[in-house]
Amino acid sequence: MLSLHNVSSSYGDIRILKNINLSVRPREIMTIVGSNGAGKSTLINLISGIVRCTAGEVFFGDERIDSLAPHEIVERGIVQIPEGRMLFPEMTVMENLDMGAYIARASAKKKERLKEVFTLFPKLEERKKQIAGSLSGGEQQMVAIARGIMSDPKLLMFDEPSLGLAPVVVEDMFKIIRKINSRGIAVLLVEQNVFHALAIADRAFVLENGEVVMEGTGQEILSNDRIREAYLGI
Amino acid sequence: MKSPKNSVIYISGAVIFLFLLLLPFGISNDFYQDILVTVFLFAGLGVAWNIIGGFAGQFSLGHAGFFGIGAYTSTLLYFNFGLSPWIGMIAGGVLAAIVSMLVFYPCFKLRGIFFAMSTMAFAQVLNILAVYWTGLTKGSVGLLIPFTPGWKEFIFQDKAVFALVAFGYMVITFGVCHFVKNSKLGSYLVALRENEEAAQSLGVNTTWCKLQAMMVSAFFTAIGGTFYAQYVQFIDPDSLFPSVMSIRFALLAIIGGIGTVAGPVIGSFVLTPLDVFLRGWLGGSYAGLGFFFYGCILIAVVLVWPQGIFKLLQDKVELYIRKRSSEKSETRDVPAGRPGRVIKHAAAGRECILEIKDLCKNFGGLAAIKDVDFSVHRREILGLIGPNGAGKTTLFHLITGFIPPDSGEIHFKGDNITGLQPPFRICKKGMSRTFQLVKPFLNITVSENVAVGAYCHVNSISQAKRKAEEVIEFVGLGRYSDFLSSSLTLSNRKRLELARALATEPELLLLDETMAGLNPKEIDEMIALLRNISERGVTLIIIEHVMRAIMALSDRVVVLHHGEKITEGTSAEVSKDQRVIQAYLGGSYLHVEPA
Repeated sequence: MLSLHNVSSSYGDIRILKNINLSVRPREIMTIVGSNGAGKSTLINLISGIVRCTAGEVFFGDERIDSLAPHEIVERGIVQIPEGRMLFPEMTVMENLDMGAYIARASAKKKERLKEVFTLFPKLEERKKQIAGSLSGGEQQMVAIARGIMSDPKLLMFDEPSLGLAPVVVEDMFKIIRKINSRGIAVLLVEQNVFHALAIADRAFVLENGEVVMEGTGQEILSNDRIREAYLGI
Repeated sequence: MKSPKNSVIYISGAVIFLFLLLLPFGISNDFYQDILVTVFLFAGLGVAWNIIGGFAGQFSLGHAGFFGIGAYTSTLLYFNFGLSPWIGMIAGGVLAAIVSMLVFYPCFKLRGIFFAMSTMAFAQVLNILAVYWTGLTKGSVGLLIPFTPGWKEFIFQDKAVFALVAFGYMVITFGVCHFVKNSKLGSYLVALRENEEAAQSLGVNTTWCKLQAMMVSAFFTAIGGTFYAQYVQFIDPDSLFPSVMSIRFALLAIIGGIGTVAGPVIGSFVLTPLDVFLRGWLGGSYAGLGFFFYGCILIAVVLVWPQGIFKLLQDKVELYIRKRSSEKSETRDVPAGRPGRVIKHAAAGRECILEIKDLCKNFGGLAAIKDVDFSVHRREILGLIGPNGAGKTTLFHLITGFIPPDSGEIHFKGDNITGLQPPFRICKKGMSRTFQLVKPFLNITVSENVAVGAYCHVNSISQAKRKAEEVIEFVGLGRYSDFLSSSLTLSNRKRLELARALATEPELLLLDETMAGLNPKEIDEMIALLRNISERGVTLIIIEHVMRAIMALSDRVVVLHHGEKITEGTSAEVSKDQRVIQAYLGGSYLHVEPA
């Protein structure tokens, strides 16, 4: 459903992404592995239209989207859950969720989505009037995911959802990503928690210095010796 | 240092200096001489503003106040006591410095736009005072300084002499600014501009630094005011105090290059003549149109060169020099975490370095920390874990003096440090910390970042630099020493933050989620580095969610939940504790991550 053809992106003189070719199929979980500075977040931001590609093409379905503005891309059904959650901290939980549903594709289905979100995260219904900034880190991450779901995505991109979360919450987080995926939403996942991320992935690829150096199923990558040494430290 | 870059700078500097020194005598036209005087004067004023506005990042829009103080002080002393304006000039400078200290001590608690507004109000109050205190200032009528040429009177027949004096003023302010920039104070100012909290945690008394910078800046602005009065020989509130004047000082620095020594000088050489020409050219038939063009040019410059003209020139010069001297910077690849001088394991002392007793802190009605007590032994690594929102970071804030506790006591090395604020005091005592979200000083290099920490215990630049280099090598950032810290990846930023904290020579180091956002490989490297730090004799408290790191490093672990300590023990004990598993670990973490 999403495909990148020979995509490159530069910041000043530095090329951050080099000739990336990859595709995300409907209903799958795709994981991106790579060290810090490899270009993972840039890739996500590029798909979202926040960073522009300097060469190559990005297609979503049959439509070329690499010159669309970020809000138009969200309107197509590609939604990002940004690193560090990026909530609107002064707004209530409910207002944050509303913010996800103002786009045209989502506003008609708002009630439906809200029900879905509250079944996924019963805690958020209890806390819907609370100010988002006053929630704990785990709860904030839930709001961020919920806000993404409110936009009625076809493809949901997670940028380090487990960052700074307690182990027990991390576990929940991966369960939730699976649950969301089982509802038919494709997932693109960037994670430093490589074990977990590869364990739930249908397919994964490894990004090194802005290049895709390996691609395979989650299990294949997880059992590759070089990857084990470079990213898992074993 | 004899680098080609330096020699180019010295030679061109000397040429420019001589040229400007002789320039006043080469010009006979009154109009051009007037421009020259104005250029020199405002160059100096811009440099003075830049000390507080650029280096310290405290955006003042009230410097016209100091300008006016200088002009009025010298003039009134001359009128009432016959005191030479040369003496009055110094008196005005000192008065401005004192006023700046009294007025801005409270104002420095404000940040950003609110600080700028308070400075504007300051100039406005002085303006009103000058208008209505007619007994002293003659109000809006203004004061006319009689034209009696002479050195003692500070009035000269020949404009070239004025130009020379203005040139001297510019050179001295420039020199002082250069000196400040390359001093400990300069390093501290940039640090607090980039991130005030991080600076405080490294032992920087931010309020006092800002005050010092403000006083120097006010002093030289007032001197410029006196010169202006003597040059124009007429002062009134309208010409001295308007916000336009304050904005002008700021503009020179912004256009020329904010936070650089030479920037405002270049700004003045570009903007001042432009202003005068536009006014002269369009002033007669289309009064006001000059301002329109002036404004357009300003907008264009800011859009095209947001960092100012100086930066642009600097880049060009550096490129030129690099081309000519194709010197390859040798890559110093240093293995990460090379152990420094290892202090021998002195019979693992049971001495208590930190003791926390019944600590409580409430935010509103919420108990963030409730009756927490534990102690940390010297040379120990203590892990601090707990669910998100358990109060771990709050506890760090309390210990390092960022927020005061409601009750309870904190003892460090036997001293009661409860509520000891601000944080720089605690840092000086030998305790430092890092932040959950890294806070590097972005626009300066790695080595300059670390030097800020090193200045905690040394005053000389060379010592601080040496210390910084040593620590940078130790954490494995050797090859990035001259890189801007904004160019580092997250894992290197974490190392940088460690290096900065280490440079303050802490006995106790508090690390807030140093592993977050790192991949397993990087986590292993970080674990090795922390071990090395511990072997150097530094006691560590680490907040961490990465259990692998906690297991590998901590001698003991304290678990917080809802602000309370629920248990304490070795990592093995704690990880089997049923309450900890339920509240924090979850059932299956051990199956997924190799221990």
